[in-house]
Amino acid sequence: MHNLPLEPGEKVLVIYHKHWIVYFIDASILFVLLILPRLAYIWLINNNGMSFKINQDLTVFLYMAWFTLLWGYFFIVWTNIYLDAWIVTDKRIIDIEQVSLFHRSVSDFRIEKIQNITVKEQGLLANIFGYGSIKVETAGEQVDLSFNYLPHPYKVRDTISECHDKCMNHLGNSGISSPAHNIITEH
Amino acid sequence: MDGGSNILFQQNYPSGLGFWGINFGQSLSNVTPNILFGILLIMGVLMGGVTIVLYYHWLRYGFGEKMVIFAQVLYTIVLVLAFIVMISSAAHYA
Repeated sequence: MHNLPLEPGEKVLVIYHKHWIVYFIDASILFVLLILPRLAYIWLINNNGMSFKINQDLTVFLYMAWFTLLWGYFFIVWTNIYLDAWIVTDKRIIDIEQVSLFHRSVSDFRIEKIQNITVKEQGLLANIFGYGSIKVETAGEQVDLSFNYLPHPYKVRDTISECHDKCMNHLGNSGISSPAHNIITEH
Repeated sequence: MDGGSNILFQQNYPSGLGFWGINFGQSLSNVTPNILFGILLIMGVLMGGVTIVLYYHWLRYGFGEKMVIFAQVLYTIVLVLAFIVMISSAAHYA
């Protein structure tokens, strides 16, 4: 899944994808583009008095060609959005960003380095449909991970916090001295 | 008298997008079957390329996920149907 190089014994706990509203917005725009030729035809007949008739087979052909182009474009957009993912394992958070079809970046950091998690639900739609953005900051490093249009961001924060607590307890019980423990968490 | 009234009430329908000066209706009536087959060929090459790229991503990064399998099946079925309709309408037109 996602072609991830996991460490030995590392378990994927949860995979987060973007909220369905992102797909809905893109699908709505493409739907408007799909019916645009028909709307333009009606508008031209009503306002310009166009009197020409197009062959029915030609109309079907051209409309299907238009539909096929939009269909392909929709799946390109869908793939770009769907392959964006946040993967929480018992050791790391992995952020996969599919910028475009041939531009993919994968970044990760260890869960014990988490210092601060910020959740934002901005706007009316975000509050109604329950999506938002989350930003995870690390101690001692200038590496932050953020993910927008995340469904149920508060639950995600709770899951990450829980993993972080378990990881810290595990480190605490592993017999590592306090200064060494601080070095692990800060670097 | 009658001739004069006819001229007065005669309506002059523009045959295309009058204000842009494009004779849209005439342009479409000049489309030959060969043009349609040419468009079909270009669409085939274009959509073939898009399909290869999409399948590459789905199989490499989303392999085995239910949502990706569903997308693959839906995309392929609708694409094949669309091409069948296009080939059929181009053949009818010819």
